[in-house]
Amino acid sequence: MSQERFKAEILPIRDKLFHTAQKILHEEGDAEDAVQEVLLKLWYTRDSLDLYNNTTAFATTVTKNLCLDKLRVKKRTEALGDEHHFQEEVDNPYLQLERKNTEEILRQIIEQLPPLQQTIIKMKDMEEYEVAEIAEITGTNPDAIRMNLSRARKKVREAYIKQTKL
Amino acid sequence: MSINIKYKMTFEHADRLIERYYEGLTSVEEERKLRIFLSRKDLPEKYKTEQAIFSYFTPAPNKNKFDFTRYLRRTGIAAALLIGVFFAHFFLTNRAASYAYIDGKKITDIQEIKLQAMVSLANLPSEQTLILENLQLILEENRFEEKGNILSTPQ
Repeated sequence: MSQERFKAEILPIRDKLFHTAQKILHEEGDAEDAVQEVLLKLWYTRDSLDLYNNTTAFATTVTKNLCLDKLRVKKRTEALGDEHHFQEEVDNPYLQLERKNTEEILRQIIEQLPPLQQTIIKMKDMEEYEVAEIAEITGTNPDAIRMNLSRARKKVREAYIKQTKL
Repeated sequence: MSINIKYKMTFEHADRLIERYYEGLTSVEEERKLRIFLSRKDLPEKYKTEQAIFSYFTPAPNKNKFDFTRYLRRTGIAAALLIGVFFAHFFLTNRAASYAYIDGKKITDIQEIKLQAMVSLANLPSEQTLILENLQLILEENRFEEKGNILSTPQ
């Protein structure tokens, strides 16, 4: 599927996907993140999207599955909270032994970022997409992407300083 | 007016870009410049974190765009290597097979070598006939001796 067809066929169903996500996740912010994640996933698999007879049905299924996964993870980590989860990884001596070099430290830090932030930071910093391009793919305004990108970058910096000080 | 062929970013400029980077405000082009700055070996300690982060985030060769110059460069190098190997092989094998020393002089011209070889070969039969002639002479002498012996044998 070409870039133009992706924009013409997938982006118009964004609202439908958002409603599907909100039904499962309830919170608007979570649903918005989920939809952006789904659209980025679909963007990366756009070459094989033509294989599906009904792309709307396929995109809805992807959204449902992703939201159910999120819900499961949320329930599992609800008691711990995001900060605690991060701390737990830092203090594990076995993990620390594994972190032999800078690259490994950064790889693990990025892996712990929320999935949407992970995708956005990789798209911007590794694949050299402009913020406006990511915004166009996800049907969001560039400020929302910029905010997530900024959060991701700051988290990477803080976590890296914290871990290399040990 | 000054022309900077190799632009060297100032620390102030770099600090401003780093600040904007963390706010998600830098463009891909600005980040490229920052990456070049951060790859310098003589930077103060305060840039250590950004150096590590930028070196980790080395951009992938391309995203969805076809990089024609990179493609050309790569195929160009491959083609040059292939041609190089072919010519090296051609010249080396040819040189080894097509020279000869004739009267202490190195000759590489294949035509001249062939000519000289033919001349040498043409000379060979004449020597053979010489040997044959000599052999015939010896045989004839022997025959004469035998005849003489028969004649002188006492009855």
